[in-house]
Amino acid sequence: MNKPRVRIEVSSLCKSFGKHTVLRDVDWSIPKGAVVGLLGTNGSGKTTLIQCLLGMLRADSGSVMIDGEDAWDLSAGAKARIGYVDQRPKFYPWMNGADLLKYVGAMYPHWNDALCAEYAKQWDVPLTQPFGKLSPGEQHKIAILTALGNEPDLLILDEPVSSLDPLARRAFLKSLLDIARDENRTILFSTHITSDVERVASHVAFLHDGRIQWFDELDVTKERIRRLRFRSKQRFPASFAIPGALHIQIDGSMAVAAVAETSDADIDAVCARYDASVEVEELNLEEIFLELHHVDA
Amino acid sequence: MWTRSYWVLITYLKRPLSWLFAVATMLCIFGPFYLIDGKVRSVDNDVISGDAIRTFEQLEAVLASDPAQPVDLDYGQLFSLASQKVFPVSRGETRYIGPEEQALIHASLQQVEGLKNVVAMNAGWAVDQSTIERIAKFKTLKRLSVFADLGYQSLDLRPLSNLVELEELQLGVINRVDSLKPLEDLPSLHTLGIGYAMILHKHGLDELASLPHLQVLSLPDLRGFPGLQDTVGKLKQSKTLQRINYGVSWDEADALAEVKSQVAGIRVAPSKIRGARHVVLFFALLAAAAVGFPTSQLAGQLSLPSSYLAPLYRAPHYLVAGLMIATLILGAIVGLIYVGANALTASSLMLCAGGLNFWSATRIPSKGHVVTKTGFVNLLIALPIGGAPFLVLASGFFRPMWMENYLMSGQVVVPVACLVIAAWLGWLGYRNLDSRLRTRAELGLPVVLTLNDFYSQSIDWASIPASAVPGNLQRPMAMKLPIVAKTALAVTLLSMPLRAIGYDDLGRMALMTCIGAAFVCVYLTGIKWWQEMPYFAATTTRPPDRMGHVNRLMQGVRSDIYGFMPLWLACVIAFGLLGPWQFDGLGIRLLHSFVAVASVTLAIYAALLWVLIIRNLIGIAIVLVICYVPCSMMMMEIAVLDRSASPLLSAITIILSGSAIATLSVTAIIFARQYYARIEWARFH
Repeated sequence: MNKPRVRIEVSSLCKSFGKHTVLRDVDWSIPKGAVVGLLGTNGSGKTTLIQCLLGMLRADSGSVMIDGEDAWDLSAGAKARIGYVDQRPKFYPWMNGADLLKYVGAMYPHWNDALCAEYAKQWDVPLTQPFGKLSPGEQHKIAILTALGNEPDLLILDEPVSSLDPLARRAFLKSLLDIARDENRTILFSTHITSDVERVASHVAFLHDGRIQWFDELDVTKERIRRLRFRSKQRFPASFAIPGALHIQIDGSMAVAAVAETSDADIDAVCARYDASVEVEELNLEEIFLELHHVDA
Repeated sequence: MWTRSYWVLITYLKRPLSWLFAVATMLCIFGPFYLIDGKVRSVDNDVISGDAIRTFEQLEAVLASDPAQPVDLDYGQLFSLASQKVFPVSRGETRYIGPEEQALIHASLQQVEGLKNVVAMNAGWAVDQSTIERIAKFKTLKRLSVFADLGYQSLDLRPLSNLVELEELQLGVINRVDSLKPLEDLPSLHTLGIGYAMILHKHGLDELASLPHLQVLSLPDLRGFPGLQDTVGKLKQSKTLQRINYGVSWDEADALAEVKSQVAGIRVAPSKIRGARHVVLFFALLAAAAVGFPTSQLAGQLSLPSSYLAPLYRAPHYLVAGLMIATLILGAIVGLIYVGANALTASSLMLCAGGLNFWSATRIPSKGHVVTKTGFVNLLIALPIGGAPFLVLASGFFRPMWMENYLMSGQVVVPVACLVIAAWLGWLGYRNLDSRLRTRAELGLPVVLTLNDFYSQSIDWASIPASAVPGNLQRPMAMKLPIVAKTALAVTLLSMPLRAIGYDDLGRMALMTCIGAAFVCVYLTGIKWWQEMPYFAATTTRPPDRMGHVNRLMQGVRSDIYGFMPLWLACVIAFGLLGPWQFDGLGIRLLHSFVAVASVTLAIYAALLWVLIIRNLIGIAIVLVICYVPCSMMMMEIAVLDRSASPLLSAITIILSGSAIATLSVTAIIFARQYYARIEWARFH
């Protein structure tokens, strides 16, 4: 199997604001064609990381390369292949949606008006109203259109569905699935909504404590991060441990451990050592998120 | 390219603030012009309106339709036409008009007496006794101007006592008048203009003091007539006189103060316009107004994420901002010329300076035959180029009349020469531009973007890293805004100490040199600004990194404060030595300079910070302050001179207005920085 070509390469990325350290030695490689859901708590640094990835924010140290180009110093050609939606879209409030699309579209060498019109129709975007008078959700839809119009190879969306109602969110995710069908297109989107990631993402990344704590394919993640329930006739000691444990909770003769990449052999060894039986539970993404953040499910 | 530019232009045209700014800019430019112009305008001999009767055809038309309709009559113009008719002369030939010829011409003008309701009349340049008697027949006259007499005989003004409705009388270059006593019989005469001191020789100012209804009197400059000057005090005897327009410029404080001291209680205002000041004002306002809004709009546009990510974003935004600035400048020039300011010469000088800048920015610096990029060589070139237009203006304060002859006389030699030079420099700069820009980029020198670059940017530079793209208009623009504003203001303000210092005293010359050194220091701090603000570069302007700009801006501010230090020290020392009590002398001017320079500088920094950071209505309001401040400085000077009879009031005016601006500015700077630090953090958390 060929190793997928790396689209974004992050090495030892650090970023602080004054005394507040937001990113600590982030190392991350995003393969070409991946649809990555970036999950993290509020204030975990998702926006900061995205801004650094795009070269909009200067990192204190480390590097970000997009297709081999320094993100801080991207060529015009590389920029033309990027689409980006800000967490809080900023456009001229007095300009209507249709004019905004024409205005932004004029700034790109390639722009697909028909595609914008099609999505605008699908998502029921009011293009005749001034941007400033639209609801946050409608503003977000227009911002997404401006990011899709240039048919980007790399689409980065910072919490794109946070302002959308369930219907609009479903429609957008459906469109995102269509967009993601192109194997050459890489999509990175940050969100709090784990079900959205499960619906569309091929990969998932968890940002915690200033680092990418976990990044892998979604299915692999679900396979590898599991919850183990050990039951024994004897009490589990406080020193109970299992390789790859993310989080262990002990209650007398019962122990619950969230594990990542723990082999069956390791599990068997623990069972043998404590004369215990084990139940292996598959976790959904929300539970994985909670386990990774050491919060009891 | 044009599609992109069109959509950028739309962002200006559809933005309500643009129109608000345009109106405010026009008010800032034309308002002070009218205010100052009204305040210092020379005695206006032209009492008739633009639609006065000036030709025989018009005269006959009025006589045929309704001779009783109220009209203004340009009798002098008709006299010229009649003299041509009676005594035709070929071009270049001159003809002596003696009393006999004069009589014949008057006879040919008999028909004007058919007009029954002449309200205003310009009697012209060849007035004799017959003319006076004819004028006396127009009993409906309210305004009359007699520009010159023929000088054959003394004029007897007694017939004018028939003009019971006459309110305003302007006597221009009249040199032989028996007496002004007959004017006492004019019951409505409240405004009298005396254009030539000879008319007063016989009776001095006694007769003027006895005019029973006189409220406004315009006097010529009497400094060459010591006998007359000493009798100005007699005007205090007038019970009705409220204002004297004295025939000096408003920067001739000593002459004004002399008259004011003699006629305490009567308002004395200068009546001569010092045109060069208009030019300076024009420059200061234009620099601030024309650059202010497009720059702030551009800063706003470049703060959007698209500015970094959309590959063709920057070029059309620069282009349109440049076009907006050019349009504003052109509009202001045309407007000012239209309302009477002779801005053509100044504009052509500015264009010439622009050509020099363009040529300088695109040339390959060399020493001998060796291409060099040494900063010293660039500095040697940049300093005179940057300072040239301002030095020209500054020389206007050394030799005001010389400058006015060139700047304000409506001559065409200098403008045409400047335009030719500008065109030549433009051609020199444009020729082989691409190859020279490439060489400059290789040398690491600043490179301006050309229109061709705009077109080919996406194609040629698609694979080049952004930092390697030559050209960055925002940086020079951002650097030049404070430099131009500061320099223009410095020149404006230099006038006061320079006039006070004089040219013959070595000690004072040393002080002037000190101020000049500060002026140069301020210019040089531009280099510091350049060094401290690398991220002002358009290619690296990332919206969330504006805090970095602010911090570097503060470095620039600090360096400027150091640059201003010699001026401040000089002011403090001179202040200490001479004292603020010399309100009509150096003290008041230095006080004025000190407060004005400090407050204006702070106001500019505050505006820059707000424009960079906030970009909303408050930011725009501060930009308007930039436009307002130079005007207020000019107003303050007028106020000082007008009130120099009250030194205390002058000092209070200066200190209060200057301190208010300074306080507001400092508050704005501190608040802007704190505010931005807060929202910078909030943006991410």
